[in-house]
Amino acid sequence: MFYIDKFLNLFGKAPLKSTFLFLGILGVFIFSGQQDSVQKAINKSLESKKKYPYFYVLISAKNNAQRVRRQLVKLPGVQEVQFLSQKTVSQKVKNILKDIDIGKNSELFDYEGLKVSLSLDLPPRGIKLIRDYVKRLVGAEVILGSLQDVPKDEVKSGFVTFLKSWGWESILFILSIISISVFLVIVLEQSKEFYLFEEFSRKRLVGVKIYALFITLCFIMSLIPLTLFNTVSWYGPMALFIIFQMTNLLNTLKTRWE
Amino acid sequence: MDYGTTKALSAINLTVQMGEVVFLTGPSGAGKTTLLKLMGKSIDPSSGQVNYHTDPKSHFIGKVYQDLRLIPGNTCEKTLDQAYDRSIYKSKKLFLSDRNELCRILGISDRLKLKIKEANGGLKQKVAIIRALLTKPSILLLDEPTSSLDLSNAKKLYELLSFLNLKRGITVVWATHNKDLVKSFSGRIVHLEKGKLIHSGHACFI
Ligand SMILES: Nc1ncnc2c1ncn2[C@@H]1O[C@H](COP(=O)(O)OP(=O)(O)OP(=O)(O)O)[C@@H](O)[C@H]1O
Ligand SMILES: [Mg+2]
Repeated sequence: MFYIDKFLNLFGKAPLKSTFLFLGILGVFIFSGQQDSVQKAINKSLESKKKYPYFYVLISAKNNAQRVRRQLVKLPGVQEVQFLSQKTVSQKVKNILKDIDIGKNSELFDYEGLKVSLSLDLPPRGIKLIRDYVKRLVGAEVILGSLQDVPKDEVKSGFVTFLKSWGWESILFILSIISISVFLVIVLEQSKEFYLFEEFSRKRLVGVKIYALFITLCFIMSLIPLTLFNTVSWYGPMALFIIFQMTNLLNTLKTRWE
Repeated sequence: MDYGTTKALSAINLTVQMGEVVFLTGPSGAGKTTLLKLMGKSIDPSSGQVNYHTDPKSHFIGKVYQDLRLIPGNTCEKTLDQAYDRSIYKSKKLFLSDRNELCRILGISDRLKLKIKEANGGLKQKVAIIRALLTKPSILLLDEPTSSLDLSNAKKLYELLSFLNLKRGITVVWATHNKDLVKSFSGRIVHLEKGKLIHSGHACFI
């Protein structure tokens, strides 16, 4: 068929560009059907970037720091407790004390450590309770570090909240704009060839038909991964499919050689 | 016909019969190109209309415009292949034999592998003309097709076109500012000046 022939012809002429465009449109289609999983991934990466307030606990190696850790994790208001081995602790201590002449066998090297991270919304009274609990649990031989990374109010910026509720939409919007622009640029480059096909091959709307084929192919190809990934909503891919076809129609209709 | 505030053509009333050979003459800026593009439906008139008194489906218009409309990166051969259409040629073989015959007549068979950007003006003009002829048009519009050709090449082209006119009844409209060239050809001469039709008649009566 004429159009498939010309389509392959164009593809063969600029294989890199066409592949790029193909993967781009395909990617946007797939992305548009993945609202839930994308939004979850965005939220997760935002969470992990968030800094929780924390303090260090140094516990004499004679005590069992792992046991203390297990106890602390159970407390409400404790986000995470990280165990730091004797080696890690002594390394840290050495770094801090390297300018001060302290004997190699300083008793400071016999400590294990815990890094206790607290929830963001824990009130000061709760923090005090937790610190007291640690003291009671370990006894006199505990060293408590001061509280670090206390959240400031402006840290919870509007941007993060925005991304949390509109992350998928904003990325989809940006991706769509980029892929549509690339699409328009490539079609514009080829508009003279389409004109010639129309002028000399008794065909009409060659560009529109070729790209309608191209976009449909992208759409059909995106159905496979979308089905595999258990897509819940098909509205995104369908809407984008229509947007691309409309852009194609409007753009290619007016390309002529003047 | 207006371009913004420029009046390129005014009150033209011209009828071209099927199977006729017409030369559009006139000095530069007279409106030859504009009239030709109107006939080819490449532009729309700002007032008045262009009518075909035949079924539009039964005729096909071959066009050779002044800018030739060639893609610099393509070879001459590839450019000619743009005219290959399965609805006119039953096989590529028939198309190629037609193509080779036309290239032989206009003497460009040995230069088909050249790219358009490497070709000289005459070769480009011939490629554009052959491409239009290969679409088997019933109407052929030519805008200054011989501006880069010498007299003997121009005569060769005229002979080819009058042969096709006799054999296939192809209608030819040929625009040129070179009045002297046209005087030795037979056909109707339509003379334009400043967008107005000055006269229309056969060479022998002028
Ligand atoms: N695209 C355009 N926009 C504005 N004015 C135009 C355009 N094309 C042509 N004109 C003007 O219309 C008038 C007729 O131009 P046209 O090109 O038809 O003349 P021509 O007889 O083909 O001349 P030439 O022998 O130089 O090709 C000229 O005054 C020209 O400046
Ligand atoms: Mg002109």
